[in-house]
Amino acid sequence: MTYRKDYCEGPFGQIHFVEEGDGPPVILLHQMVWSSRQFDNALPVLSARGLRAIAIDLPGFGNSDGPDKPPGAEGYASVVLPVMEHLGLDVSAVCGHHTGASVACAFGHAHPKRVSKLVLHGCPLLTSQEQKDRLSRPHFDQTPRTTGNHFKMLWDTIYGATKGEASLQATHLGVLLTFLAGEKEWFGHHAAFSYDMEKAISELKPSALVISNTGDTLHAADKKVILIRPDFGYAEMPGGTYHVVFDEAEAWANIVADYVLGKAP
Amino acid sequence: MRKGYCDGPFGQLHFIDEGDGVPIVLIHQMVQSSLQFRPAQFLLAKQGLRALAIDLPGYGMSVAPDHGPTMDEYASIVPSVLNHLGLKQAVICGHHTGAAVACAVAHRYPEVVSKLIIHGVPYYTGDQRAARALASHSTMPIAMDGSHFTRLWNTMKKASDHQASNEITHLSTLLYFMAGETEWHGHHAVYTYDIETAIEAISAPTLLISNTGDMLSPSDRRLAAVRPDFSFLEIEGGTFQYVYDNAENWARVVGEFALRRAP
Repeated sequence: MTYRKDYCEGPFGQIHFVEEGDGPPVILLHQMVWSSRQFDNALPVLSARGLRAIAIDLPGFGNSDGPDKPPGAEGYASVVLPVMEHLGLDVSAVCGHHTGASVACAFGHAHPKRVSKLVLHGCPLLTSQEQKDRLSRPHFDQTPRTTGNHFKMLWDTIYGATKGEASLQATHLGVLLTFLAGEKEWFGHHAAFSYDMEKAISELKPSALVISNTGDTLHAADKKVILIRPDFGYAEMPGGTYHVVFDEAEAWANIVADYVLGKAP
Repeated sequence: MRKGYCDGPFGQLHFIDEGDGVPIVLIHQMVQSSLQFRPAQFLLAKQGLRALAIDLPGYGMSVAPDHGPTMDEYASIVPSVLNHLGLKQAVICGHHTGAAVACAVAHRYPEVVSKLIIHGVPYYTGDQRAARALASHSTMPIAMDGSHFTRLWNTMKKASDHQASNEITHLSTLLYFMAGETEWHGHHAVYTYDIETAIEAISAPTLLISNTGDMLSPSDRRLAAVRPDFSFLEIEGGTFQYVYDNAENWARVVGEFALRRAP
């Protein structure tokens, strides 16, 4: 199938998703605050490798309708099944990045029989103290300023978080998608920081691959996941930032495809 | 409110569908998207209209064509959407470059147009078009310090003489950058479009809305003189962001004309 966008009904209203390719399905869950656009560069690689790549806009992001209050990781995960039903998929590989990895984990935990394999990249497996600290941070005030300076403020935050190592294109798209998500964009981080991921990880039934890039803020957390679950596969990418899925899409998508197609590691 | 896609001549078309009743198609100015009508669309639906806001190809969520479309090509998406929804006819309403698209719909597909509403019409003379077509596109490449956002913000504010709201300036800035490298297609279509021929041919009952604070106000007045049979409504003040910033008044005027029984 060539690149196609569509909607289906879900628990919070319409769910928007994009898909490309034919073959074994892999559902892609973006980090928040982003949208399915995070996988723009990965979709063609995955479909060329013989996969049917389906990237979902999580509720309140991209073009999906959102809830009024923070839904939690399980709430976000509740949109995956309606998409699978809509597409007639009994099982699928599910792959998530950062907060999207929390959602993928929650889905694999709740519906192990519907998941062929899990891919988790940059797992927000934080201690309860780290979670508390992150939850207490103030939200970015999106109110448009007369000077337009709010764009610059967010740009500096996003660009600064990668120490200037992410591509300008990824930073640019990150700014746009954060503003388009609107003032409820913090729901996504709230879900990750109030989720007991350690419990879910230790109980996960599907087999899983952890991808980690050494330049990522969550690299240390990924190492913890592997300690808890030495049975999980592990693939490491050198360097990179939290925009590695977008910026190094080809290398990333090939790791995902190898695993989903049963070739490694 | 329901969002959806249908197939069109240039790939998938995205639209927002709200309300029940007499259908009215809303065609946004470029560079914006169907979101330009978000406040107005809700108000039109409350008046008993089925308001359909379409993302033109390359804007909002609609797939971009591989070339800069002509005005007639932009117009060809409207029958696709109506056909998809099983609608034979609708009121066609467009703003700025979207008004030029609406004129092309009325010219090329008169059978689908029950009434026409155009606001801020780029009714340029051939000389004006030629001069504008020669000007290079203003590009806003991504700057390492993020200053491209501020540059565009200032351009937008200045174009409205600093009268447009922060909210619509913000939305316009986002939509401009989301449209990406082909954002200039819409303006290009206007500058290469013989709108005079289309205007002469229009047979649908037509309302021409104009606001005096809009840069296209002089062009609206020339058009009103050429087609004195069009209803002409001139509103004092406002900017090129009138549809969003003055949604209540705009939706009232549009709704009244759309729902008025034929004279």
